Amino acid sequence: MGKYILRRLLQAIPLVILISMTVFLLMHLIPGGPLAAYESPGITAEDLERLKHELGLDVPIHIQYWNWLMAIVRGNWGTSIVSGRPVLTEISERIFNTLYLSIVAFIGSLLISIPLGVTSATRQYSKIDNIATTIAFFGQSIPIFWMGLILIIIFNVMIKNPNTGGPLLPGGGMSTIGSDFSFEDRLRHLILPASVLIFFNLGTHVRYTRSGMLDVLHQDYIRTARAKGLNKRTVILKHALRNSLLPLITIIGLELPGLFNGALITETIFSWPGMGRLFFNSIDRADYSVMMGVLLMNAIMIVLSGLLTDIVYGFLNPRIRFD
Amino acid sequence: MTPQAKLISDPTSSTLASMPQERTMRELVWNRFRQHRAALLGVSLLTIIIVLTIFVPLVTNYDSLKTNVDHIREAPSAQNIFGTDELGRDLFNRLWAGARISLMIGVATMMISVMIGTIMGAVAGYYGGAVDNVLMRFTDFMLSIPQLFLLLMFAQLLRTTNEPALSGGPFPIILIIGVLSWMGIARLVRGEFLALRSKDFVEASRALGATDARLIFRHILPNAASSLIVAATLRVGAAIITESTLSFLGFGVQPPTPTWGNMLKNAQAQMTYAPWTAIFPGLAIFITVLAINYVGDGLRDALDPRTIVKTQK
Amino acid sequence: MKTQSQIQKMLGVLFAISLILTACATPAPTSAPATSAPAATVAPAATSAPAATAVPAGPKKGGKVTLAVWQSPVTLNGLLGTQTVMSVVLNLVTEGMTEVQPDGTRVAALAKEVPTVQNGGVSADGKTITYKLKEKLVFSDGKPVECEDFKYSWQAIMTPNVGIVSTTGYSSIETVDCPDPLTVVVKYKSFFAPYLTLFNGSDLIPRSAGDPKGMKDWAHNRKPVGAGAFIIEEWKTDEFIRLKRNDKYREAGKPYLDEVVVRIVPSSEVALQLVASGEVDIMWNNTEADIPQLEKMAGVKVSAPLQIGGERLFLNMAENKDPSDPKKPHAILSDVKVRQAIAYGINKQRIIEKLLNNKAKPGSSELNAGYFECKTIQAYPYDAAKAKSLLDEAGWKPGADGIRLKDGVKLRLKYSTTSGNKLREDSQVLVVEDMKAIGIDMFIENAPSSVVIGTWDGGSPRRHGNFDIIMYTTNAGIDPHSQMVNLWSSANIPSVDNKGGLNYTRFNNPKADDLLKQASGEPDPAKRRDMYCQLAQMTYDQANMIYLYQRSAIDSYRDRLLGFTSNAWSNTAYNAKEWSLK
Repeated sequence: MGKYILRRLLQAIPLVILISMTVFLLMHLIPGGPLAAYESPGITAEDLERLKHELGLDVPIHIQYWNWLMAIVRGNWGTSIVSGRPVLTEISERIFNTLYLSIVAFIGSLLISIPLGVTSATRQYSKIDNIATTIAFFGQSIPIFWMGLILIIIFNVMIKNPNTGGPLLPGGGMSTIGSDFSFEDRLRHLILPASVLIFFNLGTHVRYTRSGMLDVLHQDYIRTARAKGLNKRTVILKHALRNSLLPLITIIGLELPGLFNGALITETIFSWPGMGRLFFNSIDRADYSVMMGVLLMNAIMIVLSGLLTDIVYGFLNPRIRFD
Repeated sequence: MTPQAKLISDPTSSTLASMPQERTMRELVWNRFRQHRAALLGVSLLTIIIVLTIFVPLVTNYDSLKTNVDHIREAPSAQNIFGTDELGRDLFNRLWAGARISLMIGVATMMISVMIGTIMGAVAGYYGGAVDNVLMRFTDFMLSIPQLFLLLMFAQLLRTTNEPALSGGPFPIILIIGVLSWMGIARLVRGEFLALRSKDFVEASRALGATDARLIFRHILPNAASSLIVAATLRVGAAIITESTLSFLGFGVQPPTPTWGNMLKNAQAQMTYAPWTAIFPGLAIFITVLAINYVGDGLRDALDPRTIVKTQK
Repeated sequence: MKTQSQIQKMLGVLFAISLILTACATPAPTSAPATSAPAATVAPAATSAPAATAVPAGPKKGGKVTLAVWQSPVTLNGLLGTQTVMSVVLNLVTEGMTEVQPDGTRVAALAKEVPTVQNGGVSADGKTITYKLKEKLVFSDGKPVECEDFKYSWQAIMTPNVGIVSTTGYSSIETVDCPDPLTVVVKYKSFFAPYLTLFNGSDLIPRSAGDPKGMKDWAHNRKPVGAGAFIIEEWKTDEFIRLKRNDKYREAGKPYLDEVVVRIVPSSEVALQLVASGEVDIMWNNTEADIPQLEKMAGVKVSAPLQIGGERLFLNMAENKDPSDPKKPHAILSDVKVRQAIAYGINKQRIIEKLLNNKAKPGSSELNAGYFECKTIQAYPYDAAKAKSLLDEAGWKPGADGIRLKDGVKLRLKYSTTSGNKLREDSQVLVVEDMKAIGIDMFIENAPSSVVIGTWDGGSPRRHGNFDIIMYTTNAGIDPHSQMVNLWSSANIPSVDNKGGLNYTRFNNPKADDLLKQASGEPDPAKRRDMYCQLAQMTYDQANMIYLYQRSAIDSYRDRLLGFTSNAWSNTAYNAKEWSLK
């Protein structure tokens, strides 16, 4: 097992290097560059030339890349070109905000979609199945920015809190600024962005639970169990569910890295200080070092979650061997 | 992530054990599709949308780019049944002009990604070994870079070329979304090919001297078609949503060319005092993508061999 | 039938949503107060007397105000950043020698008075400036504000390799002397015309900030200390900056508020909703497109003073090629008649009425406000007939499709701006229409601002010269000297050898170069103003830059906030010390 993990990790290194190289090259092909943001009437051409040198942007690309790679090998992720702060500081300030929102949304989605998918599968083509299908597709059929803005208009502008007269739900942010920690306050801030993300995740999760369940329900051992006179509920919960979750676990494995990346649109609409905005802003301002940092983290997460998925899969399905 | 792709049984990539007789197959599929009421609803909605998309611009012959600044942001009325936008353009007509672009983006990107994905997946799955390894590592590689990053990078790159055909219009968007969304399809097709390539009917044709190309396209691919159709259908909807997201970020099809995505993005700032500008494009996207998803889901159920068991029972 | 009921249900839900939104659209007619209150005046002249904008006798003390900004600050060290939002936050925290009033005049802040030749602050050759500081000034940490701090600030700005954004002006200083703690003597190597723009606001760094060589790691970058009305209390990146009252502020009793929260709301559409719901008190940086919505909001006021400069079209006079040889003329735009035809052919007033909700003025020249305003220049009037005859004269004759031709070449031009800016994109549509009417085929091709406004090595078209027309906004600032040199000096035409050049229209005129040279040695501001005005007239006649409109600096705020006036020369927070709550 340990050997298997080690081998997988070593195999991943060329992939990570290739990704970083491609991204680095791609970034430098884009016109503009980090200095574009500095351009304003008060800034002279000499200033720009000087800055270019001071920020190390006048070095050839391959050398810039080599320097970056060598620094990474030594554990140095570099500093943001824009803010001058260490990339790891920029990431660590946001990553927990992002995980907080995405994990809540992810678990919320699973809690809804597993029962929904199972019911849907056991009563295929029923009314409940149709409703589940509609709910599942709802979030994936609406542009998130539109749904988010409508939710804010409804719950922040139009509906007032009967006790305070203020907005029913906050129109963004993680907590009320300047107030002490309160569970209720956190929850109120979480409702809208988490709902949007749950709706978005639901589609995939319900569909995979449903088809996984359908798959299992037609297996011989389930029919045997049913034939032996076990009641349907027991069969579904004790036998079918466990096996039906296999495809879902694959999907979860594929989604795990995304949990760290954040949800750009949701974060933008609900003023959530997360990774999605950090990443987008770094693209927007050509902040190479931050962009590379986020992508590197993403690559590492993909490798790790792929490994994790396979291991979990192995436990659930003893037929798979790690050799 | 390597062995995982081989191990999983992706519900969309189920295999057909043998070649059932054509007619029975079709009947079976149709019978099962009919039971999926949401899918039927989806088909009817899509039919209506496509008919309107084709005929409204033809019948009204309205120049969707023509502004009329004396009638800006007018509420729906007999004259402009969906109201007018911030430049006085009739939203009803603009919506259907936008539909052409949005649907074109959806269908064209689907075709690009299906084409690339099918070739990649078929070649990898058919030949296996080193070829498979190289192509699948490349697929993994493409999946390892966040899609948004690639979308924005390529959008910026194409935008800066001086080629008018490549900048601003729907074509770069189609190209970018298409070229960046084939990976799932490649994996799926590869899975099908891995399972099918050693089947008896393939071996038989090979013994009869069929070329690789013939085997791939005439014998194996039709058997992988069912899951491909499902994936392709769903891609159309996904591309329409992706275009709207790109528009939100300022990287979509450039005005004045209307798309549902950029119409919706433009309407955001006037959502509360001219809600019709936001409601109609929003609904258009919602209904269309929902309908596509319904149809895709219905097809999945109908084409899935697992459900054959049920109907046969 | 089940299917049918499902459709009905779905349509029902959608209908309900649309009803809710429509209901929201119709304003509550009962208690909507007039939004065109005195603070909403357009002309800067009217806002020039901040005292007149109703700060009632004895404003209420205490309270908290939330200001929504869509941009997220990356640093609060004014020497290392360029973001507008940074200036807004720093305006709450810092003060320098002088500051600009809404009418463009300068008043003393930390200095006793604005130095002039008359009061002995400026030497005859203009190369020595002497400031006298007010007495007993302290930074918010209690340390005194003295001459040494200004000297230290100059040295900090001139520190190499720390990423100082701009050394303009400071690099012309020879010495800063401190004969006594309250006297600052600045000696310039050569005359620096906009000397009053130095040592203001966030350029003043207290000595206690640390060694300038280690500036990148200063605590000051996240928690700047200044002599302004508020102190940074807490900064959560991308989320908010919380500021509290500076009890040691130089004006007794001010500021009135206890707390100001700068909240980062990245979507301006959402910020607009938060002003409507009252979750925020001020929204920074509205667009003209927000005006109709803001005017319908109960309890919301708008402040919109006119700004200098504005949106303009850069017409490339040299060849459209990558890279462009500035000596080779543009195939179409090198003809002054074509350029003038474009200038006459654009209906600016229509754009202002329809898109800018009348919160703008037709663009005339670079010098359209403030002390250096060139009042003799009027905007090109809209005259399609004249535009057409100019094109006829230039040899461009209408073709079968209405688009003009000359020697078989179509009058077709690429028209670019920054993508994602709705107002720009909408005004492009109207300009394209106007152009079509006179027989010019303009096609829109936009790119993100990082591309349009990028660097030479980044491949920016405005620098390489591979463009026909590019549109964006820039302004000359309070002293137009550097803008005039950047835009019109032939030495500033970008090329492989001059990658940093900013003269994007490739304007090349020896007379203009002469005027610029004279102006840069002229200590008398009035004479300098005349020279700039002549130069502006020259470029106006050449029509290589077509000024579309002069915009307003629009902010919106809840009417429970009193004393709010925005300042087009500064920003939203310029008089935060005067803010109070009802």
